[in-house]
Amino acid sequence: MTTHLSPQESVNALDGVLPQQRHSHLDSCASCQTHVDELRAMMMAVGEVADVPEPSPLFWDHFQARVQTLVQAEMVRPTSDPWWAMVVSVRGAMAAVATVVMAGVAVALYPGDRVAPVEDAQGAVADDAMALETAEWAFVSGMMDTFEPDDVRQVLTPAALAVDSAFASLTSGERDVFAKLLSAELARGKE
Amino acid sequence: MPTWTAGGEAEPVTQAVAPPATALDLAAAEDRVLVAAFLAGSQDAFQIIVTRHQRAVYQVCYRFVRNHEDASDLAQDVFVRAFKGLKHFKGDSALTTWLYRVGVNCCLNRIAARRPDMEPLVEARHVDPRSDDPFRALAQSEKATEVKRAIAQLPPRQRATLLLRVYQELSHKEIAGVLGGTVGATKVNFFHALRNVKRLLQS
Ligand SMILES: [Zn+2]
Repeated sequence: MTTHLSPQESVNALDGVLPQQRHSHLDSCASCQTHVDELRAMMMAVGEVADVPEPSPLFWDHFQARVQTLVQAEMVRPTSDPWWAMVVSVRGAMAAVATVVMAGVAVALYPGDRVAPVEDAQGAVADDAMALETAEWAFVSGMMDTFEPDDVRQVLTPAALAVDSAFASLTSGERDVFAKLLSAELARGKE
Repeated sequence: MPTWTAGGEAEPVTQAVAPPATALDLAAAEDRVLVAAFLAGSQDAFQIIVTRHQRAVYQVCYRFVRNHEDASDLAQDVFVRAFKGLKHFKGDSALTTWLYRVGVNCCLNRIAARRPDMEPLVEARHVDPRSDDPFRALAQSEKATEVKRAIAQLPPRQRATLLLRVYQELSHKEIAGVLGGTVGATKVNFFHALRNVKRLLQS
């Protein structure tokens, strides 16, 4: 007489994956058969009440619109720029930092005149960042001013790492699809 | 279907040229590709993820709370959390499993925040009087109500295990991935869930 089926083995019996040796016990043990039959009956009873009423066809459009609204509200920035926009933002941030550094140098060199050299320095950097619109410059500089260093790291680093990680896990075929998608997004972004 | 561009400008419905290749490619892309595209900034990819998984996520939520309004709120919450947390998706499990994990957490939190007497009642019975055998239909409906009530009384982890196994047809390994813990512990949970449903039906 072997031991009765454990709870785990009873579930294995339900799933039809009980090892042969234990199955031999089940075949010869009325008590275990009763237990497994009761479990099976309960599983069927539970399965018979599986109904989830299908929402109206309009529901899913409303649902998607609601999710869209909610995720946009969650975003730090008011726009959902694609990743290459972040490059522009980083460039803007670097330009802003360069502005501050050059302004500092200018102030150190011309301590008696604190206004004109700063303007000159900003003009020089602006030449360097011709692609940036004035408004975007102000926005990026403003954003950078409000960020703590940790905020900047959190905004920039995890997403970049996550993209690298996600991309690394793709097969070569999936990478092809991914590349096509991004090319199409880039093309659309230029429109 | 709403457009997901940040500016909120809907794209023209009719265009002289063929629709953008992205929409077609995205619709056919595997979840892993969609996740990578989303992390790289594609909002369309996230839209497809929502569209593809919204029904399954809603159904899981509905089975926990048994009413449309709460299920709808919870499913929305799942996708908002997914939007913020997809960068943590490792790709070592199916995206569905990952979304279920988020969904089950949302549901369990919602249930835990409620007092027991605030638990929603099992939804009203619907018996079609035109059915061939209304008495039998009524008996079946009453039995179904009792089963749902018994499931609602299970401890959260047993309830989650039962719902994921029976209705979502997840394997015990997948359920372990959703709820945490070992496959063996998941099977034991499932065993106790069935036993408790039986006990509650008899009481
Ligand atoms: Zn036995």
